[in-house]
Amino acid sequence: MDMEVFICTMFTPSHNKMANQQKVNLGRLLYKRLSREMKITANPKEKLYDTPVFQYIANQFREHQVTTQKLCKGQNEVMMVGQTYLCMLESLRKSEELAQMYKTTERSIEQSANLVGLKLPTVDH
Amino acid sequence: MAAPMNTCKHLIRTLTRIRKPKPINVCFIRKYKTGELKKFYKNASIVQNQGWFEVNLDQRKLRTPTGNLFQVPSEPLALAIATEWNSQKETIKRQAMHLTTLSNTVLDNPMQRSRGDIVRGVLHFLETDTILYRSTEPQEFLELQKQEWDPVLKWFRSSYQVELDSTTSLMPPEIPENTEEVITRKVNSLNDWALVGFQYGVENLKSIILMLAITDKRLTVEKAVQLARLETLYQTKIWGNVQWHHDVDIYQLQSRVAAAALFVHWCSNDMATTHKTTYSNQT
Repeated sequence: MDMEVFICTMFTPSHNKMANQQKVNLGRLLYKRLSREMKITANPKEKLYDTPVFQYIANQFREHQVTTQKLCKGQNEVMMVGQTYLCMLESLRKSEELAQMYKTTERSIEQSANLVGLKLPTVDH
Repeated sequence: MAAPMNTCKHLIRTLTRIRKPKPINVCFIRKYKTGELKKFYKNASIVQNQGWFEVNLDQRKLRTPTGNLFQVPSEPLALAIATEWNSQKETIKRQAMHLTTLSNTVLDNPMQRSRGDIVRGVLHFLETDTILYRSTEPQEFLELQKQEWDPVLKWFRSSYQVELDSTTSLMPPEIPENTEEVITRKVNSLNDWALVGFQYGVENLKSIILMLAITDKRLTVEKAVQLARLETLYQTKIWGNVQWHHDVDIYQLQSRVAAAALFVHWCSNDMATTHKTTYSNQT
């Protein structure tokens, strides 16, 4: 996905400090995971790049590229919001997968009775 | 959702116009189909309208369950809600659309709750906060609680300048008046929208302190859910984990709390722009 490559190249730091590099890597990782989730949940007909949601996410990454402290909020706040959204998407997908995996049809009354060796009483009309 | 309602209304109108003396069976107008609703739109998008953001399903405007227009005060929130609607496959699963549900609650206020009601509901959790109740046995679990919950409690005390002690008995701990006042003020500072989200988060985590840690960006949602379920976690480590019960519980809780946290963040507009001093060649 060339958008991803484009954004990733924008993350190359101008100076090599360890903490900065770690932050950048976290940013890249978050971006990759978010894109993956959006790809899975979104409409497969459209290109992901065209959707307004993705544009918003990409813009956020672009805006806060140099520093996340543009607004008077705490450090890492924008990252944490991204992580929280990622957590929500992932948890929804995983709980749905588990529900599908362990889905069973409810047994009829007769079948349940048969389990313990009983039969339903016959009703005379 | 709007279509069957309109045909029903139309039917009643035509029936009443006929004015026959026969008894008329009036159909109950249900705002919701109780069966499974098929996905009746292709695309959900957002529009901006007088400072509010609305969601359009194809060309029709999304509405709340009572028929009000669906409007949210924040763009990323509207985008996330549109994504929720877009990610529905063949049927609409409302139980997975937490952000939509929260917005509907604020817009409709179905239980007619005032701000005071909600704040009081939240503060009820203060004296029964999860991380305040320590179990004394087994010894290993007591250590685990100290190890995991004490740092959060310490942060809470220092960050809000309050005193709050944990307890090992069944009776709720003594809450000093100052603590209660400070927390009430903090919760009251949230606007109507953020307050509903906050209350939902507290309800699910069963702990104000953990929810405050999330909204203050001190804990991730995953970590907070882990702390809220510490006892269960401890027990499953010993006795084994049941995937279709425990994991489902974890993911459900995470999705709800994450939705609550996002709701609080996106609806709190405490943004002020000041210019940061630029460091030319420094860090």
